Amino acid sequence: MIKHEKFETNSIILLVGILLTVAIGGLVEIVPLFTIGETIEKVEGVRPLSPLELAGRNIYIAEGCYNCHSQQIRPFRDEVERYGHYSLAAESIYDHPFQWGSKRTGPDLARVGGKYSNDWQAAHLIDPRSVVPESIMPTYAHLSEQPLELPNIADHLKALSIVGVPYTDEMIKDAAADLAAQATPDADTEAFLQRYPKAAIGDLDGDPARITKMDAIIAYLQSLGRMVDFTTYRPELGDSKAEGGQ
Amino acid sequence: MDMHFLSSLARELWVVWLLIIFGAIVFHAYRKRNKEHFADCAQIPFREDTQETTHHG
Amino acid sequence: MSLTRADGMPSYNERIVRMFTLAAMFWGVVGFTVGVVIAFQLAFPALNLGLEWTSFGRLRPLHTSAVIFAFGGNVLLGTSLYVVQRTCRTALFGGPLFAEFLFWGYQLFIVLAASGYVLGITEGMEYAEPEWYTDLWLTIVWVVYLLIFLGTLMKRKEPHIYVANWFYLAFIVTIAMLHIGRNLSMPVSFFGTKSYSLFPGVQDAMLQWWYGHNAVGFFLTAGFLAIMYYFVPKQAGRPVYSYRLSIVHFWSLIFLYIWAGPHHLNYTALPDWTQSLGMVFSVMLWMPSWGGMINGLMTLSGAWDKLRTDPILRFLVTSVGFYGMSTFEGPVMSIKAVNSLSHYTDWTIGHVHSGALGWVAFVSFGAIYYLVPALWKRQRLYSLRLVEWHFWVATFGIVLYIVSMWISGIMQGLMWRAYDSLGFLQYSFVETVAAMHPYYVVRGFGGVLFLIGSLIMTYNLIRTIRGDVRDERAIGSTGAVPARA
Repeated sequence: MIKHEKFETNSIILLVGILLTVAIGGLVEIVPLFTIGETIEKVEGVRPLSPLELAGRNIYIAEGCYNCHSQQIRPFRDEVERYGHYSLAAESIYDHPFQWGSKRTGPDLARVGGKYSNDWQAAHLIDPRSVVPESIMPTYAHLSEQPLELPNIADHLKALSIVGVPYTDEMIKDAAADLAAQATPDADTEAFLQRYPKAAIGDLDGDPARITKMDAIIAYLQSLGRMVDFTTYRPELGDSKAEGGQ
Repeated sequence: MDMHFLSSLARELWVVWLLIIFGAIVFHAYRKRNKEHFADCAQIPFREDTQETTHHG
Repeated sequence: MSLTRADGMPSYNERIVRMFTLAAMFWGVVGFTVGVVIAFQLAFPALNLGLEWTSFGRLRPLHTSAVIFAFGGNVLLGTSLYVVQRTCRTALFGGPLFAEFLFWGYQLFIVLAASGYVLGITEGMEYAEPEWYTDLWLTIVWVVYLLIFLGTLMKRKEPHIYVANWFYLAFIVTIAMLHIGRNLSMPVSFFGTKSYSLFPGVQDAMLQWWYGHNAVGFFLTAGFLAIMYYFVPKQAGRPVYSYRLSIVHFWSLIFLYIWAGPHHLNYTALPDWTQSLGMVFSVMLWMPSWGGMINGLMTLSGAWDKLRTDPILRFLVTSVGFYGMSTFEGPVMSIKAVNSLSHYTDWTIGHVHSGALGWVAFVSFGAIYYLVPALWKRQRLYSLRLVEWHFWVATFGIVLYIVSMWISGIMQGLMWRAYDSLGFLQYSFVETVAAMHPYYVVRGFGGVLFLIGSLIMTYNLIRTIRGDVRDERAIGSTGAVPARA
């Protein structure tokens, strides 16, 4: 073994020693997780976010929602009863970055989709205390005042496809049209819904005249946790996380 | 096979390696021969120049 | 490169250390103030002001970045450049040019990051929120930092590298690795601010806490341990208790810390073996942490009486005590059974702050109180009495903070899992939120006290720099130290 004096008197050897220690430790810890990437079985129903939902997710991130809301239901009886089926690894395979969060100043949102109406979501975001008097959430009225301007939404899908989200060329090409179709009342959404099943469509924010940031965030919130159909889902087939529970 | 086998092997070897290194460091640090040397090292903060300058160089 | 004065003494660059010290105080007060604001926002949501730029979600990253990277970072950069010159007995490598670039480059990084959060420009990864262009800039600045530090080590006049420098070097190298690893991302366009993390879901989460936990380990621990290993001996006027223990402390700390990250993801969709491994290493970390604490505290053996008369030393020693406490609490919280209760609650926030306020900030205050008279060539601080006031006000603030967060955290964790006699969940979520209100108020006041302490310090330092000396009775001179708090 290298004499320790070397470490103490030669700064380069000290540097290399530190680097090896932390780098190898980190690699041994992290690399296997990239091999399990292949073992996370794709659970039926999980799809990439629609352009409008993606725009909503980016608003969710920009507003720092993750500072107070988790999106990760642990396999405990009380959490499952309060929020729904515990979170599966497969449900976040298209999340860049993940938004599991670390603090529940507000409730978990992993399965908030479909729990409340669009109207409720809009009213709650504009003034949380108008619907939940004890709430301590900030108001987000500005979201309904600001139009959603994302001329380069296709570039966002493109960037995500480069890091591995399976957006097809067609999805990228039609991104702007899909974004508009989802939030416009009575639009022709047949092709859109084939690409993005179960997406919430129509006038989401109560302002049919234009597409606002509120439309986007509600589209995202309504998508959360609804992709997997748990009436038909069988954990022993597609759940690499079951062993993580109890 | 496999990455799982390899990674578990790597983890076990790494723990063994850790123990060996740790033992070697403790041996080195507490070796009698090195006692004076380390006592001297501990004095380094007190060896700096007492004359200082505000001029930056 | 190594300029020497006419008398052959190395000419240390102290100007740069003075600049970092002033920046640290400035950002410290900013960061503590934002902390107080967001603490009261949780108690009184009207304080979000209804503006998009001042909501909790945007200000919280501002608070964490301001205290960790702006206050803590400037303390670490400043003290490291001070310590490395003196323990190597040579001037900084790269001269004033590199040093000035490092200073202004780092301040620019802080401003870029902070302005981004307020405008909603964030990667959305805790403690790694700055977007890709800010990350790139920090990478350049950090490489210069490494060059300066390593270059100074290489041209040293002292044969041995003092242990504080090992900790600083580990801090610099590991933060570089963590920063690059965590921030690998795909920008949407060259002229846009938005980027997407390279990694999906589970891997991204794992990478996040590999980063997040080691940022605690190497930024907030290794770096500040370096401060302990230099400034405690200097202020106490005696060498470190056991240099041998410090060697074991160093290597075991960096070996073990790198493994402990997964405990942030207990019971999540992360594979079980990773969670268990994280837990085991977290518990093992208790040993080197306490070895280090003992080493710091025992440096005073035979000179404990100095604690009574020297409030600067008291800051340093108390910080080591808090280090011991939070490194004991941390492994306990990583145990899965405890974690199932504590995770997602204020207990975590309390734990972080016992480390951040009690350990990181206190050891920084001690070092700054030591440095300012030394750097500005003053005989002593303007007032030691004010240091004493700072100490007690801040300590009382920390106690309020930690205790209120223990109670609110454990209480909320228990309320979430409480069942009524019919087998239904007893409390709705919002009932558990309402129950937190009194504790959020108390926590806010704890923060106010801590902030007041830092303002007392700022005043004291400004008067010291101006060259004023307060006419006051020496502490302990009459034997009657006024009882406070």
